Parts: sequence; structure tokens; C-alpha cells
Amino acid sequence: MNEEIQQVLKQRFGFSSFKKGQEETITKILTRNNVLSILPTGTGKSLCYQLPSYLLSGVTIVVSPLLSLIEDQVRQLQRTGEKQAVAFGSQLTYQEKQWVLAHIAAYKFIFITPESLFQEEILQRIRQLDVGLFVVDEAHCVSTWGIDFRPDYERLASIIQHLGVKKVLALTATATEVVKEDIRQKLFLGQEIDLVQKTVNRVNIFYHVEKLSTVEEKLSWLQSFCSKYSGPGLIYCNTRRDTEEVSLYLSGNTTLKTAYYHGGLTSMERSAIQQQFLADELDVLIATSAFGMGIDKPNIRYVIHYQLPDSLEAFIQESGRGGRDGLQTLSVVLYMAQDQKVHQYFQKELLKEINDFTHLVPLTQNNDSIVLDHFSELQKKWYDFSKSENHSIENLQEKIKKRVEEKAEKLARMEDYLDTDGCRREKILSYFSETSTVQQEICCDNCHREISDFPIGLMSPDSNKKYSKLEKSKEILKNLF
Amino acid sequence: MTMSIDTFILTLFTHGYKARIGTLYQLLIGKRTSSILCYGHFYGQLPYFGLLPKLDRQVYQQSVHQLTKKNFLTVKDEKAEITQEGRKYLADGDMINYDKLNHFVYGKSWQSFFDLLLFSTQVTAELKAGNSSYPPVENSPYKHFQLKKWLAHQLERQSKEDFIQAFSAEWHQLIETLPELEGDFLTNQLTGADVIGKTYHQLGSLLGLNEFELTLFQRHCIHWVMTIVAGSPETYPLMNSLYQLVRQPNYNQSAYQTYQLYLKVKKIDQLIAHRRLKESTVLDHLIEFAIIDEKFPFFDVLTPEIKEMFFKIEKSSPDVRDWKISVIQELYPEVSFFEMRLYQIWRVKGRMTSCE
Ligand SMILES: [Zn+2]
Repeated sequence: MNEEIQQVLKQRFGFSSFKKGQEETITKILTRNNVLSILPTGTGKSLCYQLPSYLLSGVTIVVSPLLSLIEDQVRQLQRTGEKQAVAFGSQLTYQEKQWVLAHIAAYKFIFITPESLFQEEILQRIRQLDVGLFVVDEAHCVSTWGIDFRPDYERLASIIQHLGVKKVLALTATATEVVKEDIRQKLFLGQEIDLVQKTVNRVNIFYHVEKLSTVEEKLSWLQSFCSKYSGPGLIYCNTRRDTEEVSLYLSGNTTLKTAYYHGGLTSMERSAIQQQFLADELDVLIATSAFGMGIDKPNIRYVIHYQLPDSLEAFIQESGRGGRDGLQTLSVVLYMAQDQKVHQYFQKELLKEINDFTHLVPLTQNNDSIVLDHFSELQKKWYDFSKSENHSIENLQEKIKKRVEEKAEKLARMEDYLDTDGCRREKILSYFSETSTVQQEICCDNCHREISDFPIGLMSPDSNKKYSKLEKSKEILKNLF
Repeated sequence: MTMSIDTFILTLFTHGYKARIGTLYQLLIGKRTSSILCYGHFYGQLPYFGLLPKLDRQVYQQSVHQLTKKNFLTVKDEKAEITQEGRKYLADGDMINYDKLNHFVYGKSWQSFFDLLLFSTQVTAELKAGNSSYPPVENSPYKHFQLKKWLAHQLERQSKEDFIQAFSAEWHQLIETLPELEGDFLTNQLTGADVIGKTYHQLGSLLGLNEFELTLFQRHCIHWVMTIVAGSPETYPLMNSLYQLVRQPNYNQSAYQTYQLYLKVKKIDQLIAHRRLKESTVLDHLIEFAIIDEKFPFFDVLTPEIKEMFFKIEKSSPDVRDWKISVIQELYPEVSFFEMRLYQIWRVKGRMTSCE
């Protein structure tokens, strides 16, 4: 067994050794049936299902919450030379969908969003396949659907039963004790599971929080920081518009090569930006959380949050995209007091939406279609969910209210992290019920109040010359052919 | 001057005629009726047919209102005309060129064509470099299948080296044919082997174009390539074969059937009986082809006598675009709407070719 694993690792993926937790997960899923693997961002979660797929018969189905993540994962496989991988989601036209369904048996990997998986037509085709491995990516969505708005995830257990799949691998980068238990109950229906879990502590990340009071201050902080320290860097923003504005500001006020990335770009544009970033053609990438997994860039030197993330889970995942090569990396949150209002607003809106929903639902009994037309996207999901899983509306309302409270609680923990005078790493570890081991030499701003410079490299004076004009056609063609 | 939606709408009046504001809106969002196609044909605006399918009517009206307020347009009876000030404003501005844009012909196929062109270029470059593991620029499984088939077909007919050489030669020929800016704009988007393309948004900011200018310019460049490639299959056999994979007719199937049958039977009443469609629908179909088809047999309908009559009308009312059937029928009750339309279309076509 171990020899076989090593062989595939070398031949397929070109690696000679595993990262922490990978080998354990792979061995577990090959020998056992239900595995939950919690590995911090940066440890190459995808390999945990990609590699065993080659040692198992049948097709591997990977459920992932976002289309952009799915496309990233397919691209990542394509980089290893795998051509039998398909991304199945709303990006396909009707004809393309029909075409893929007709040829579905030819694929080794099917990446799919829950929304697509639940379509009867698709489910029927998948039922005819020999599914060797069923992977639930970002498995914490099973528990936190109220937060990620993904009720579909909660229905995956019934699909797994329906398909008669034996091996189920749930992957996530972060899970608190509560979430772990939730995954066990909701995804594995209380069955016995094998757990692989590694510490969330990322020793090579220095944590820093910068309190500022206006957007202008944030921008000028970014301007001087990004001009001083060497990248490549990643800046996370909460909205698409912010990514574009920050990118525009930095490219207008520095000599840096910047680009923005969000779910509103076409798949081709996203692919081009990813390739540029991977090839170190960009100094700074400004992105929404749509930029993420599947993009295995080892040398990101800093990750800056332009606004506070909505939870420590999100923060750990996103800041964890830095420093996969193990070298010293920096995490910064730019924080101003008004920022949390955005998150609070969304929570209020959510409560309002569920209240409206409970008033509208009784009306659906008489005249379905008219009321349904008045539902928002989210309300339609709730409605389908309550119908399919026979949840009473009161039950659903209760659940959603509870999620909103949880969300507020998560935001409060995030604020604790920002407000603390103590060690920030301690805050993170205790949130995930880990106890800290030893005092780190390079830790966080609160542990090192005396230092004035961040512990990452400085920009060399001639390193960045941003593009100022288009390249010449002849040059490009010469390089292509 | 940067091109905004307001400026763009103003340019659509540079033909100098009084033109219906409402009809122009319908044309921009791509509402396909024979009267809107006629309008597009009369004022040379078919290239913009369906260019802005999501344009909000209020936004459009607001633009016209702004232009009127600035005294660039005058509006009377729902028709607008450009003013001297409007012309001067446009003439003073240095605007991005987009005169090869043709949304009427390429509106449905340009995106697929360009996607395939980028993808085939990447595949060819990687073939040359001997790479088989790379992330393709295209994610659609159907396009993968299309391209695989296309490539297999090409490699059956020639060696790998010859194919790469031929494809590269077509690109070189293409950039020789295009102006430098257009050529650079397209090739900077190419990816393959060691080259990573830029997104068109990145190019837009390098060129200082706003979103709207970028939309126009991107389509202008791609439509231009399509025109070149479609017109010279012998110079661009490979690119032309890609175009053939995605080309879409700019007419609907039903209208095409009507026209084909008409070319056989030549009699309107027989045509109606055969097609089992309303007379007005059948005539609309023919009007559509009178606009589209360069070989439309106008003189089957426009007999010397009928033409003579219209010449007379033209003496008193020289702008054929402005003709109204109700006014004409007061003097010449025997003239039909269909005959008038064909005459208008024919005259406007003649004017365009003879530069009258
Ligand atoms: Zn610390």
C-alpha cells in the first residue's frame, strides 16, 4: 500500500514527500470508509482526494460550495496533466450540460456544486456511475450553512445514501469542536468516523492589526506598505467594488503591478489573473474570498485584510494562503470601527428575510406560483429545503435565528482578536480549543511591541517596473510559436 | 474626450437626418422587426443592432435628455437631429476607433470565435513546446471536445510541424493586415507556452479606456478579424475553419425558408399559400432579406413602371427614408407598403455603393 502511494505521489504529482496530515488522510480513506480531515490551509488538501482516486476504482465526485473553487480545482488537476476532470455548475450552457451528461462516464473527477447535484436529471446520471469516492470539500458548510447560506450542504447525507457511496471524505481547513460534532451528525449521520486533525497554528505567520479611522488612511497605509515590502502579496476585500478601487489606487499611486480578482470576472479572465499571479508577474493581487483554494502559490509573503473578515475561521483560511513555502510571512488586518457594520447589516437583513419568509409561507398553500415569484433566491432555497426535508417553518425559522446569533458570536470573536492586548496567536488557538505550546520567536505585534519593521523582506529598488504599455505583437508571436 | 454612453448615442445621429428616438433604442437592445431593421439599414446603424441588450430604457432616455439639454441634439415629435454644436463636440474629441464593429453580423458568434481563437493558439503553442500538462484558458468541456476534434482533423492533413507553422503564419499575416494598436490589443490577450495573456480589463487600463470604450474596442478588433478571416479563407484556412465552427446566421430560419421558396416561385400569393403564414409575416421575411442579401432580386417587384412612379415621388420628396405609405397612397393609391419598402431599401443601398 505505502509503496503504491509513494509511486503515485512521485509519478502523478512529482513530489517525493508529503506535507503534514496528507499521508495519514490518504491511508485512512484507502483503508476505511468515513474520514474527516481537518488540515490547516497551506497543507495541500486537494492531494488528499486526488491521490487516492488513482488507487480506487470508479469516479470521484467532489462537492464544493462555489463555482470559482470548482474551476480552480479542475485547473489545478489539469496542471498535473489530468484531462478527465470536469467542472459541473451553472456556468455551463444548456447544450454543454447535455453534452457533459451524455459523456459523463468518461470522467475520472466530477466537481459539482450542491445546487447542480440536486437536479434530478443530473442525479439520475450520477446514480448510474460507479462512485469510488465522494468528497465533501469545505465540509464546515454542513454546519455553518446559516452563515454561508448553503442549506444544500445539509442535504448531502441523503444524497450519499441515495447513491450508495461507501467512501466519504470530508475536508475542511478549520473546525471548532461544535462544528466537528455537527459534521459527524449531519454528514455522517452519527456513524463512526476517522478523524485526522492537525494544529491550526501557522508558525511562519506574523500577525498584525492596524487600527485606522478612514478609508483614505487605509489606502495610504497600503500605498506605503506595499511600496516598502516585497511581495507577492494578497489583499482581501469584502466587495468586488473594493477590489477594483484598491487595485486602481495602488496601480495609480505606486509602481506596483496589481490586478483585481473577483467572481464577476469571466472564467477566462480569472484563469489569466491566476496564471499571472502564479508566475510572479503581479506584485499584489486584490481579491474577494472567491480567490482561494486550488491555487497553490507557495511564496505569498503577505496577506492583508482590507476589512475585518466575518469570522476567525474565514480569517485563518485566508491569511493561511500566505507562506506555504514555510518562509516568514505576514498577516495584517486593517481595521476601522465602521467595518463591522457591514456584517451586522447583513445579519439584520437575514433576520428580516426570514421574518418575511414566515409570513409568506402560509400563503403558498393556496397559490404556489404567485407567492414563489415573490421569494428571494435565498427564500426559495429555504422553501425547497423545508419541502424536501419536511422541516416545519417554525423549525426552520428557529434554526435561522440561531445561525444569526452564531454569526454575531463569530463576529464578536473576530473582534476579540482585533481588540486584544495579548498574543493574537493565543486567541486563534484557544478559539479552536488548542493550547499553545511554546512561545514563538516571531509571533505577533502584541508580543513584539518593540519592533518597528515587519519581519519580511524589503522591496529591492529596481524590482518592480509596472507595465506601462502593450507588448508588441511580433514579440508575443515569437514567444508563442 | 472619453466615450460615454451619452457620447455614443450622439454619434448615432451624425448621419444628419431626423431619426426616431424610440426606434434607435429598440435597435440597440436588438428587437428584431422588419421596421427596426429598415431603420438600421436606412441610417447605417445595423452594426449596432443588439449591441446593448441590457440598456435600460430610462438610462437611454436620460442620455437623450442630457444631450438635448447640452444643445447637442434637438428633439421634435419623438425624432432627434444632431446640432452644429453636437457635431463640433464630437469633432473636437479624440475618440477610440470602433468602425469595424458589426454586431448585426457577428453579435451572436464573436465571443465563441474569440474563445476558440485564444484556446487554439494556446494549444498550438503548447504543442510546439511539447507540453501536455497546462491549465487550459478555456474551461468549457464542450469547447475542449470541439477543439480536440478540430486539431485531430488538422493533424490528419498535415504534419505537426506544418500545422504549427501554418497557424503561426496566419497570425503573422493577421497582424500585418491590422493596424498596430488593434494587433497589439489582440495578441496581448494570448496565452501559451511561456506567454501569459493579459485580460481585456488590464489592457483597458493600460490604454486608459473606460468600460464602455473597452467594450466597443474589443468587439471592433474581434469583428475585424472575423471579417478578414471570413473574407479570405484561402489566406486563413485554419482560422476560417474555426470561424465555421461558431458562425451563426444573422437571420432566423423561418425567414430563410420563406426567402428560399420565394426565389423558386417568385409569386407572393403562391408563397403565402405554401408557407401557411400571414401575408404580413411573409412580406416581413422578404424585407429582411432585401436588406441582408446583396443579390436580392429587387426588380421582380420593382418593375420599370413602378420605379418610374417612385422616381416621380422622389422629385417632390427627395429623402426616401422619410416616406410614409399613407401620404404616398393619397396620390398613388395603387402603391403597396411592400413595394415602397423595397424601393426605399434599394435606393439606400444604391446610395451607399455609389456614394451619392
Ligand atoms: Zn503573539
